[in-house]
Amino acid sequence: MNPRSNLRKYWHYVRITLWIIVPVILLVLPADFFDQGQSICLSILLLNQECYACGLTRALMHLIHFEFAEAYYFNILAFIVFPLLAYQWALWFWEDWKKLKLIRTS
Amino acid sequence: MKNLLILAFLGMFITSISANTAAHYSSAQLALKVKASGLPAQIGQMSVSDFVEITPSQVKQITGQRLHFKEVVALKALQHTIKKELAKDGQSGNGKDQLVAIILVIFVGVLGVHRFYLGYPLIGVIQLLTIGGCGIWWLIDFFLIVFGSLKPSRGREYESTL
Repeated sequence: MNPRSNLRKYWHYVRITLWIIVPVILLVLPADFFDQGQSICLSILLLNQECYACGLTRALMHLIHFEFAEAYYFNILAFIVFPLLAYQWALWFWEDWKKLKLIRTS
Repeated sequence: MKNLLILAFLGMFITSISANTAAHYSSAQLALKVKASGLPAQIGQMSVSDFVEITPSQVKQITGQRLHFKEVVALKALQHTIKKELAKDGQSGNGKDQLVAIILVIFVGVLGVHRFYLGYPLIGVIQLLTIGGCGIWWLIDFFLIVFGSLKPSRGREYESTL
């Protein structure tokens, strides 16, 4: 195996680890972890305007902890975004998994 | 003459009362609305500025009981209504900056974004569809904003000017 494919292998390992660890960390953190504190959204900081995505992080955080009422409170669009994001997340994981398998067999 | 003076005095008195009610959203009003919405009475006791920011989790911490879905919907609706009323009274929410308007008109003015920001959505849509009125309207708007002739909608002033 050449060093380049070795590097790619590690890169895929890192990505797969991220796909798994990030949801686990978010699940371990308390549901209201992002509820307090200063916003880092550019739309809020620069223009003092809330856009349609405002509160999506907080809403998704409550949604993955099965707190549907709170998720609705922060952003109702979380109910649309969550399935799409979950599908995309699974897709990213599956693509890396397939590529890793290909490298390992070659 | 005497009658006129009394009338003038009465007029001033009524104006001062209405100005007071417009400037302060009273806590009694809030408590009534909270009760009417079927929310726990305890959160009706807090100040209006605290109430519009409170989340269901914080309500749980204060009252010790978890809000049902129906109550969360009521809370969100009530906060939205109060925020809108406060913005209408000029107490909060209309913090439009002239600098931000200028930045918007320079970079995304062709799409009419500055008009959306200043509260003219219809003109904003027209500018969006006509690519800033073929660029001419955009240029006019740029000068109007820079010289301070184009102000936020409904006769409001900029919170900070250049």
